[in-house]
Amino acid sequence: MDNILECRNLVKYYPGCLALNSVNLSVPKGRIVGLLGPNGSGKTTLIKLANGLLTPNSGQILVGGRAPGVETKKMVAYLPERTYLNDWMNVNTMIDFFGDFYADFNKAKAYDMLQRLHINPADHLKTMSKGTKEKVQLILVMSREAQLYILDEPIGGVDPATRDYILDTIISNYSENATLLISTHLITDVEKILDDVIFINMGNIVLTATVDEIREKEGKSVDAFFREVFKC
Amino acid sequence: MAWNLKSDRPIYSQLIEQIQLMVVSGIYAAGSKLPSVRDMAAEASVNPNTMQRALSKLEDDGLLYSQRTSGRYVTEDVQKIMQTKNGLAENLVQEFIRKMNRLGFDGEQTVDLLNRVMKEEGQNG
Amino acid sequence: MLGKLLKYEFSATARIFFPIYGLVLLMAGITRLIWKMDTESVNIPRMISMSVYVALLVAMFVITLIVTIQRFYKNLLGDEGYLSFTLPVKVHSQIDAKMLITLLWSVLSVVVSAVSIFLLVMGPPRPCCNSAADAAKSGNCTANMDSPRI
Repeated sequence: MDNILECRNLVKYYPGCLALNSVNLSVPKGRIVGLLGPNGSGKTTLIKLANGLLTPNSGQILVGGRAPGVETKKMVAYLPERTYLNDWMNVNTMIDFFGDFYADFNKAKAYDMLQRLHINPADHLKTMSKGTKEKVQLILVMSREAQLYILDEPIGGVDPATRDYILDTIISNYSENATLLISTHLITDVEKILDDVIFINMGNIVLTATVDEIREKEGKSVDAFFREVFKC
Repeated sequence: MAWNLKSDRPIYSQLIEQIQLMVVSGIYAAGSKLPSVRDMAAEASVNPNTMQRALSKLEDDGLLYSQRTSGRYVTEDVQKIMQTKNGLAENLVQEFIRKMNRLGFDGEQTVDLLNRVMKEEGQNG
Repeated sequence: MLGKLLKYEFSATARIFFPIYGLVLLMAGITRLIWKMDTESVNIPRMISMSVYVALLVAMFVITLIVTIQRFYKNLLGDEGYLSFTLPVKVHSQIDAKMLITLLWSVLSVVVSAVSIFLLVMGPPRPCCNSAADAAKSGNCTANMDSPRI
């Protein structure tokens, strides 16, 4: 079973809006994949479906060959756009929490990353700035030795130096043979770490290609190519 | 050394060039051990898969070799390194000639200009 | 997994309930002391302390309800839901855990109310008296049914 994520004629609609229009997709293991598309293209819907937060109207979505459920949640490490940490906890408690629920969570790695970022584990989440909370969340997710990491806008809203740090953290910490699915608007920063890209628009997959293919064939960066494809 | 990667060419071919440059200039000395794929990828801020591809290609070319358990090394074959150096130099020259042609300089004019500038550089040295 | 959920749900809510229980019991004790005092012009403090105590009792039950709703809202429907629902647990376990903890606090609230009323009416427990004479002397023996004078 070579694909960590598969969609077969996947359809999802909300009242008055077709979010995913019979999508077919295969994402192999061990790749870093960019999910790129304008707002409202269906990226977040696809991500929520993969995480079992939504159910398909028709068609299938398979994670590691199974429909999303308790077993797939064990294999997936999800970093949503929002902060989802429990406000009342401090960082230590949050680490214990992750350790309790996820067998693949590496506490030592988490503490190491926190230390390098000078974040005090005894600090309460409520007292932290938004930026620090986002870093804590990233550390928690990347300390899991998951098979599929789904990162939704991991570098949105942070300064360039932090963006570099986040990208470096991502590429040095994901486990061997895991797949990373990164959904983002900030293509320029991210494209140098991507293997493959998926362009999605209005619920349809417009293109799947490797970054090198695009650069070689089009002679331009993925960012520039994206702007062409999605010109308003 | 900062990795200078452009966004309109495939990363993997740029990595190959950069590593060749580092070997030729002695940053990775002949016979020395290279850092792990992950470390090199982190340094260059690229995907480990892409770095792996570049390194494998260089192994195929003979500039690098890997020992099963101990990692990757630069070749001790100095000839090979010279070859690579010359290859890189030739590429530079070819590109230079192409660009000069686009400016409208033919071969002879190019050589003249080259000599003149080098003399000036020598005087200012 | 349910056990772990219970553990964290308990921790999340205990920080609210234990202080309230403490306050209720404390207020019961204070009210009793004030009512036991024999001095003049003690009527206003008595009214105040009794009102505060009753208000706290009512608040305790209201808060139990509010906290329950708030936990569901915040931890499941709000941003925290992104974490709660991607944990490798069955969805109904999340709900079961919250309902069980709510039950726990409800029962405890009743228990604390009962204890506080006992405190109010009887005062803090003292070692039992051995004779009637002793009982008459120490006006606060548990064997003595002493009720606040209205």
